[in-house]
Amino acid sequence: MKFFATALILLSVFASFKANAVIWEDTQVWSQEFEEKYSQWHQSNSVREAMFTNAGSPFYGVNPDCADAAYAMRVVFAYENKLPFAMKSPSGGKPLTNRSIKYDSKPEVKRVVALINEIGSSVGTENLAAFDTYPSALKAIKPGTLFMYKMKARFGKFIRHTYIIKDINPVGTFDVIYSTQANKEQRLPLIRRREREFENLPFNPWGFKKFRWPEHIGVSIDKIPAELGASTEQYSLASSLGQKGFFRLVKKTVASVTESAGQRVARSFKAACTESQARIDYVNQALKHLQTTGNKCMDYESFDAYSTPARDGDLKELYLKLKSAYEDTITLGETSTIDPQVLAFTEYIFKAKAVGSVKDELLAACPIAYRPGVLIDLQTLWSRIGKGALSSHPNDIVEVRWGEKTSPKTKCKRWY
Amino acid sequence: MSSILLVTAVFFFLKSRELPKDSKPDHPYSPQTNEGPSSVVTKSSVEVAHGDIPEEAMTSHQSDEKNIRCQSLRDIYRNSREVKANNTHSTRFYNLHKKIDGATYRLRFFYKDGAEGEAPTYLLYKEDNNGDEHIVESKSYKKGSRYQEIENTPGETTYTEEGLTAGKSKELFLHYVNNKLEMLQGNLAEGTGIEKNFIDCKF
Repeated sequence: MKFFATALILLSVFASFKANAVIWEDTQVWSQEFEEKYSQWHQSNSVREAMFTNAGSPFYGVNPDCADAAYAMRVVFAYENKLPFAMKSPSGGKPLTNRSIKYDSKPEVKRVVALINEIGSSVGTENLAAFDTYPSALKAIKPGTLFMYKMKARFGKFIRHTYIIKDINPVGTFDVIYSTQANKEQRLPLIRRREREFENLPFNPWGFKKFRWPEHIGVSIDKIPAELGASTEQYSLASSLGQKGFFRLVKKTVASVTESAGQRVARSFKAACTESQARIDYVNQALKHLQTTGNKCMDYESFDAYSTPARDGDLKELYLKLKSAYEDTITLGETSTIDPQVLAFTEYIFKAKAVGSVKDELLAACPIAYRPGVLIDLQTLWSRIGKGALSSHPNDIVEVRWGEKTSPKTKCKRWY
Repeated sequence: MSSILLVTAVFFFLKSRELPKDSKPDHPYSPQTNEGPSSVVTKSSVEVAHGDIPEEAMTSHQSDEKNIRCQSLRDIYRNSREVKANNTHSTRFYNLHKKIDGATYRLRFFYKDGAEGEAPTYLLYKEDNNGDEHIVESKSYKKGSRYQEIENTPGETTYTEEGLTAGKSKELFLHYVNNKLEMLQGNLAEGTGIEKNFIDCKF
């Protein structure tokens, strides 16, 4: 009897681990209908910030940065719908597909997690842009489409990023979800920004992109069926219209309602507030790192991870966008469309004109608590940004990082 | 009785190790197998079911024009060594497969994305008996010790692949497999109109 029980136990253990098991079996094929479903899936709660960090999630353990998150979405959807997945092999040779047997010692969903993490270790946005996606026509932009950019940073470096469009707001702004290298290092949830506008002009192979079907890997975009929306139009439009004109056209194309001038000001205010508060985390990550190293000067690698020149530049741009939205509203004579409180906040930020209790109200609406016992508002931060007082050097003390003091500045090397 | 149970258990165990029967629709692509040493490795084996893909609407004139441009660009950028010798370029990634004492290793270099820039990353893979590659070392900014060891050990190079950006503003991306140009895409400095400035060629 004991032997029978043991044999049964052994039998059930062996049966759960199939040798030469593929990552998952695909029994469906990609189609327009599945692409529509892919788009709707992005809009659903299945795609959310904690989808890889919630311990109860089947995909717990996936740890992506920006491009990895995009690949992860495609893999997860393909797996859940028994569709094939393929990408150009990161290390060369045959494409990496769901039919690989390299993880066959693991249970099925863990094989999926292993695939996503291996992709994440092996590629970045350049692979995604050059090989595994195709450019989209503007009219074909929908949830699930990616926006990818490459921009020149200082000293000949480039910064690249991938946003996943989770949804499109009626006014034509984008609800995006994404990850970053810092997120990956700290195993944080995905980041969500609900009213994003893009700024970086597309050029081939960047911009609005969609994933290729397996049979389209390595194929010229001329061969991709027209109904999938493959088109290089965004590149010629970007070139001829310039940044403002191009993104105005994008907004007009994807919007279902016209945004009022007042709505634009409110949205810009919210974006400036969100990113001002997000800077607290970026700076604190550097401070935390310094605590572990005894305040040693950062080497190139650490400087790269913890400095914030590009992000500080982006933050300044958001304030300038708010200012521009406010000034456009005045020019158009549409100040009555702005929420009175937002109008008061904006005038206080850019004209330092404090009326009544607007100072206290702004502080309550968007507090920036960057160190214990200190709380500033957006007007104070803008004033410091305007003077160039913010420091992006991760070895500077917190007061200098935030422009509260301009000395003592670090003597550690500024790598760029 | 116990022998019958044992035999039954072994029988079911062996049955569970059989490969699944292929009952699904034919896949449009099939995996490549590496059999025997090869100094010329075929390019990606993704088969395109041309019969199933309708042609995108494109005038034959535009198509001929594009083909002519692609062929002339191919002549200019045909060889990666010449491109690197004659042009300002940036190596964006490379892959190299090397056989050493019967084992095949893959060396990969590429740039991982960072919030403020990019991190050069060096990966070392080792192929298993099925030809599937597994990462054995990953290092950022500097080559790892095992990577360097394999790089410096004599062996047979069976595959090379690289991606370069070239051109005046490095907006032209060139993809080579075994030193042969496979793809070219991006913006050209020359061109008589906006639309003619970017190109996407597969060879």
